[in-house]
Amino acid sequence: MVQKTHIDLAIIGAGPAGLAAAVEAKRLGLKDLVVFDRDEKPGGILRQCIHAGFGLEKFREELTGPEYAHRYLKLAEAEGVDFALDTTVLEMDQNRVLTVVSAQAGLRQYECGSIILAMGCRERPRGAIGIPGTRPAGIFTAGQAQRLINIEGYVPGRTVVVLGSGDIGLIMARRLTLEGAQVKAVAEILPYPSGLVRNVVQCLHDFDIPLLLGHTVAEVHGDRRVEGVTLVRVDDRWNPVQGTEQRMDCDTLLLSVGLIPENELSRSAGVAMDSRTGGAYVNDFFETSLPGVFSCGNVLHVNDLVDNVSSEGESAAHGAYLRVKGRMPDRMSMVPIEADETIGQIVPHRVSGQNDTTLHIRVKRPMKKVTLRVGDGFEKKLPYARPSEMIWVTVPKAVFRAASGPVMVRCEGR
Amino acid sequence: MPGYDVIVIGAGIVGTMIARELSKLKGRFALIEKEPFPCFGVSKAGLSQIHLPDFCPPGSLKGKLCADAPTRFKALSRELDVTYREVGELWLALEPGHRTNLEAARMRGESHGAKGFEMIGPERIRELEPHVTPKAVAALYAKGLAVVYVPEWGFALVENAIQNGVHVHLETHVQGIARTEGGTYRVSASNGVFETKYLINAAGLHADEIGRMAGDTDIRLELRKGTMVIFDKSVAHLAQNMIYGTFSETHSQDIAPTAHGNLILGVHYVKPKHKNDGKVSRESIHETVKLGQELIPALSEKDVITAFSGILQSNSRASDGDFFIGPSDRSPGVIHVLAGAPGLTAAPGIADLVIKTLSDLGWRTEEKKRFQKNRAGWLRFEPASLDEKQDLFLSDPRYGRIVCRCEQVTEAEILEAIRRGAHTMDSVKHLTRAGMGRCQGGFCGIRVLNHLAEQLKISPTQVTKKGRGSYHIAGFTKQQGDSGPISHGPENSH
Amino acid sequence: MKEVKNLICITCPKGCEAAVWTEEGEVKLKGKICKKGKSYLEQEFREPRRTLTTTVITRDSRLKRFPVRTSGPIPKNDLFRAMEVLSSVEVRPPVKASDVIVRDLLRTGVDVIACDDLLD
Repeated sequence: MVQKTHIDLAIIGAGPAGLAAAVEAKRLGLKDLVVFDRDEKPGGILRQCIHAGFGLEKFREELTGPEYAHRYLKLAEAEGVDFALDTTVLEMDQNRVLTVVSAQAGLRQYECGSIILAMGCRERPRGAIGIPGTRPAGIFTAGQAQRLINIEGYVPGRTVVVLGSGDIGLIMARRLTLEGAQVKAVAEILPYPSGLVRNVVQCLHDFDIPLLLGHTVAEVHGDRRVEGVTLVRVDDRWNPVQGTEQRMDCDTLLLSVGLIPENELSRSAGVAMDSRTGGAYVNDFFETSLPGVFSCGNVLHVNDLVDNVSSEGESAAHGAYLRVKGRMPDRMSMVPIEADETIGQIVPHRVSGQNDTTLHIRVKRPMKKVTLRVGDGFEKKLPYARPSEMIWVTVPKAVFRAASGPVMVRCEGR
Repeated sequence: MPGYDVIVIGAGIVGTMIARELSKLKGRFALIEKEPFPCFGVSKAGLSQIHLPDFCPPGSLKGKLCADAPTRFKALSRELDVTYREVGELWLALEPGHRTNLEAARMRGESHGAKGFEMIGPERIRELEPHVTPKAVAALYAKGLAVVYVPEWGFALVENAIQNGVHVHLETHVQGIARTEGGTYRVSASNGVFETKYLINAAGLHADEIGRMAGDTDIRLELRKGTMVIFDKSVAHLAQNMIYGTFSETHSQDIAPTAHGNLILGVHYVKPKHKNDGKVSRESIHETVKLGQELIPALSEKDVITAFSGILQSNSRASDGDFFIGPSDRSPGVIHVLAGAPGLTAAPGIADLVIKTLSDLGWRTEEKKRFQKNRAGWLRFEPASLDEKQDLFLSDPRYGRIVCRCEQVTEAEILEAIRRGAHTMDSVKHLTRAGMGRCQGGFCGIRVLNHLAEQLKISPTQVTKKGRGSYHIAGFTKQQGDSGPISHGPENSH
Repeated sequence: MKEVKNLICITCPKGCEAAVWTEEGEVKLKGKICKKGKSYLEQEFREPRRTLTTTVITRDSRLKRFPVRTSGPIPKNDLFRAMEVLSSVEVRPPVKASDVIVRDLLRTGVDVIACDDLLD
């Protein structure tokens, strides 16, 4: 017979969102909680993000990923947080029952007063973007390479081409170079780099690594192991421009082509999903369409700053606390948030108006001299807006309370 | 007594089936294969479907060899303890004019002994397959077919053959064949020389090369490359049966569930540049999805998790794309098995015919008294019920550690696969499913690599994706470990 | 001939650009740069410095690599030599986060410190 236990709160994922949620939940007074993680050590993706750039907001210091995780782990230790590590959550059902398995304790089930989903993301693999060519060894996603190098101590290859100039790709270009590999180029399909300027300077310029904007990988070559790639220029509709093909010999191709929130558990439990974010529909308490189930961090929407991920974890913990203590206001009338075509993603999707609410917005294309308008009467001016930088804007509750229908969010700019 | 009675060259689905059927008889047998795992060539890059012979021309050998396939395979699936998922077949007519195609298909099938065909109308189609295009006016329907996963079957056939005394030589390239004075054959291979009385050429795409080595220079293969795509499990509900549309030189329309619970769709054909041309182009993926959308409009390219291509062949010895299975003219004792599609479905029939041909050639076929017909696989965690999963854990705590999260494959299964012969990352993947899910090995790949290194007692730099030369990692950071200073190349230059 | 470098300021995400050179020993720049940025660009022109984050070997039974960082930025030109020095460093438990692993790396005055605990 499988053991069944009741707990007030289950947090799935011991990364920055889950850790912050656990600490906050304990501080609020929720004693009976467990943080589940499939890895043997907590910290989530932070364990392999050994570069600096984390914690400027939370700790007023520039920390590496492991240092940031360490801070939260110390707080978690002080609060007496229980972890179930090397444990995989197999299933979540609509009644908030979790089925988990581990090599230490076998199968167990937990009846949860509330659940916080903090599973983070997986990377987009080659198959999902259809890179033509052969299927040799030597094709990795940037995150896989990061784990290989930083956790396992393995070098994936000697001569590398990186596809995608997001921060992960840029950081891995530098890391590989420092560990003795030759990074021949970073190709980016957009006409501008998708990562931070700082990373373009410190990861590419510092090492004279060419950045090929408006380029993609047309083909992979090699039967057993990668022998090279063919790069090609693309037009503004991302179609390859004939005649611009160039072959680059290499033994490794690194793909940094997008993160996908890891919502298989959420989907299988019937949580309503937003196809634009890849994450759940949530209200301003970070509660999903399943009462008592909350979502935060990268599993809700891909974030830029880990500090923000932790803040979301804290907010979700507040929501879970209200639920468990029976203090979540009944029958709140939720105002739907709608966005016009300048906006790609917006979270939360519905707002109760109980409190001032932070909206998280990503625009669809870069804009300058931006005026962000929320509903009637709230606006914020920003010097610029970029899809790669999520906008956090706190909107007074009066804006939502005064609304008689959906609240429209618009971005005007040049 | 040196040498073998029969050597089979090629451990594709046909070669492995022949080897297993041979192992029922008294004699010394060997199976030689150049890849590190059975069915890693053409056999793996197909649809893995047990068909009806309704697309085989009347009077064709291939059609005849498919007779009884569902019955044979069902029995085999129990003996070999492998996945066998029963489905029906719906051959759709998308225009009234296509009804005659369905009638022709039925006649072809019946000419080869298949039974149970039903002609059904739009309402029944909707009942069986609610997501099929409303344009379907009629369908030819039959039950009792199946989808399998060929590498799993190939592995099981090889294990059963070994149980019954067959010597299996993997990663062994045949380089030359010579006739000895005594009338036997000497097969020179990359890691040894083998002698045999009879030689079965089941080398698939390389059957022409083996044919030439054996003295038959007339065998030529004509190749077509077909693209297939796999869809995410979240859209698996779109088809419950094998659904066909139309067929031509440049396309087949075939959507079906896979044995693993995905959907597979094929096939868009182009001419390959050479035998090893496995390249898939973006256009081909796009065309393949369009073919599928004609049958099931809800299919979308965004749900594709991977695409691959397989090479189909027809041979110069048979007309109309038929199989040729027969003795060599020049070299007595050599039997050429030139198959193609539907090679999987026809495999048991082909094995029977090969043994009959051996008998016709004068070899005395005598059944073994103690043939072990049952081969046991291992218990899989994912399909088990909650209590069954707990029992698995109690029998072996390594069933409690999930390695592949997407397909729920546990450490116990990975280790068992390695113990039983899966020595490359692709072998582990195709045998256990680890790495075949939506993240395509992003999470489990590193763990599988570490397990292979530990179990095989090799350096992680010697672990390969699919055999010789396909090393996964090049070395170690900090210039430490076995690889030495960073200026040296990877240590797997064998 | 004066040496002019086109540099990008990275102190905030704006990434403003400036041309930087020296005149009579004084650093001059052309471009719209704030006070904080000016100070960064002067240093970057004279002697670019970078924080190094990397891993060192550990023979702890469960881990193979351990994350470390320089406690402050070191000259950019020393990065590869620093990597060489660190390639022969090994850590064993017990280590606490911020412990000094290598003191005064390459005589830069900067230490290499642990980014995490390493306990038995």
